[in-house]
Amino acid sequence: MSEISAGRVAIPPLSADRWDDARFDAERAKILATWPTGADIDLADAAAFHKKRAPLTNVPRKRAWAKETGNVLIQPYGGVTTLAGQTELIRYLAEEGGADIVPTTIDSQTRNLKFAAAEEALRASERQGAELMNGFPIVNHGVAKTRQLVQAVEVPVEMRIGTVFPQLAVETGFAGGMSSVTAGPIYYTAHYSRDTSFAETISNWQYVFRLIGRYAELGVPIGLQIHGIGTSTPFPNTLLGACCVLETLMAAAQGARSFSIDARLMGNMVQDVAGVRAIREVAEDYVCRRFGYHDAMITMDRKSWSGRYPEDIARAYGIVCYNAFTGMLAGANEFIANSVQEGVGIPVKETNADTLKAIRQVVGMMRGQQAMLQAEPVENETRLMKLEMSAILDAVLDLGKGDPARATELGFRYGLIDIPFAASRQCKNEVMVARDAEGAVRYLDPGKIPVPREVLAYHRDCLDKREAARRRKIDYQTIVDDIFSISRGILVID
Amino acid sequence: MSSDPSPGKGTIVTGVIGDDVHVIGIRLMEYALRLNGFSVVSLGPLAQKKEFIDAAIETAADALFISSLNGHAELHIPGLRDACVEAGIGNILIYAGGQLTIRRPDWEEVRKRFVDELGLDRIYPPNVSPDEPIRDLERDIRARRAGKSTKGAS
Repeated sequence: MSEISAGRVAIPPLSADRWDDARFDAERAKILATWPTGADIDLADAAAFHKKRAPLTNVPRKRAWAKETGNVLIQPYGGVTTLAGQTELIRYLAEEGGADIVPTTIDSQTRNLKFAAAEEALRASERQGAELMNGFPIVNHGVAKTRQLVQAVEVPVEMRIGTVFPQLAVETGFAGGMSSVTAGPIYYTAHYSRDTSFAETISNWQYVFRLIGRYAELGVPIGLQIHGIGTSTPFPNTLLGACCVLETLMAAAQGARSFSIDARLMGNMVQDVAGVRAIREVAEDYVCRRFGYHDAMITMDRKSWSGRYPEDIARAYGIVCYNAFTGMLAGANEFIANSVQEGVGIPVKETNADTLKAIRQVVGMMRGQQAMLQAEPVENETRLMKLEMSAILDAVLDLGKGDPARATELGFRYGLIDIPFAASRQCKNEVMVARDAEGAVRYLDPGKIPVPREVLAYHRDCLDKREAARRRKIDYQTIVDDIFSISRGILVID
Repeated sequence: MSSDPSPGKGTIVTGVIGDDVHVIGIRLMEYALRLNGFSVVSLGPLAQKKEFIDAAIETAADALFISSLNGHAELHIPGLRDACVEAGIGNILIYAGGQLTIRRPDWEEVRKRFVDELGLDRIYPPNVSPDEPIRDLERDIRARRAGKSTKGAS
């Protein structure tokens, strides 16, 4: 943090407006000077490098191709310290696991701008022939080595970086030939930071979005995987969806156009299918129509359960296949795959590849069968989720006078957007949820989130049914049980 | 598990102490406190001793409620009562809950360490319903406001 804050200028008032060239160029000169490898970054040279490569080594083009042809993409997680190690990993995941997009997760030293410490750990890893960090220290590797990495595979590389300070790492990744990054300001404030304000994180991520705009102007599409918001406990996907729309609008304002939007598995089939459908429809409505980004490409990726996993690999395969099955019913375009070793720790590459094969099997069998689940409960849940997301978005956009950046800041400040069990002080933490009798996530207390009356009544009714069925109230222990129920193997323990 | 909020029931500063990021327990506790009419000042994860004290002074709090799951409370809580005394809020209630020690000795041993030696008012092991500390808080805050010391009451 200190390495960059030293030269930071006062941040202009928070707004989603496109940065002017003077602001971006001044900020860019400072960012590139924060570590020596920044001197090797040149936009024109980087664009030329991207253009020399085959079209489907580019993430946005690959996502567009899959959407057009009805192919479903699969991407694992993964990042190790050394160039040799990361090269071996992504090669294995692409060639042995059949990954359509390969990841490069960035280590936590880099995510906290501790480049000197990262340098030491990288050199120690190289000396010892060990992978000592929890990701790829991309700034220390620099542009040339990153280009060696991306050229080692025929599939595109997405950079995965959970941080409120993404600028130099993302500069290095894009200049090194990576063509997408995970984002953005809401998710990383709520989930990865305790004190950082939305104003600061939004500004730091607007830099990334404007950089993507610059690449677009040079004819190179760069993608974003939009996280929205989330925790490792059950939460309504509507909160994630509303935040995804805000993050996408902030990115589109700076010139980004390719968005893969998350929906998360929660365990109830009706909700898991409805969530993907509802978020897609609301995102397209707000981004492409209401805000007029007609040329934005939106695809939906399904992320698996983000809470605790069983340590037993055989049981974890059950979660992986359930995720693939419901994701296919929902029409997801891509799967971001937690490995079956999630409950144990960082997966070995063989298990990671095996997980991808399990998903591929389900995808292959389910392709074309989406129409099978047009049942009334799914239609109803989809309708209610859309209603709720629109109510939240309209309320915060109204508060922000139509500006999605101000809407984000004010929405969280007044608790109109909130999430249970967040780490950040920027979240009010007044909302509480529990599962209903079928395991769907329902509001026990919406806090100040403007959930429409009809939705809230339905949620209350669903919770009443669970209480009636088990003849006792939902209490604190129920809330805790609901958090860990997937890892225990039964969604609703009553 | 609901009750009508009645203003003035008490202000509680909450947080996960030290280098701990496990928030589920304290978030649930905060939710229960609000439901029961307390005013909650939440520090969230990674809260330091000084932050607890500063927040307590700023909000004229009745109690600190400290959570720990990684067991490092035993490294961060020593000196807290003395620091409160130095800051002029020596009679503030201090509660802690969760996994407070790295090893898992008998709870009575943990209680001796934190209550008898370190000067906390009450501690709670994992898996206690929030209702229990809330009942204790209501009683202790009434006693404290009436000018009685509660230290050692449990």
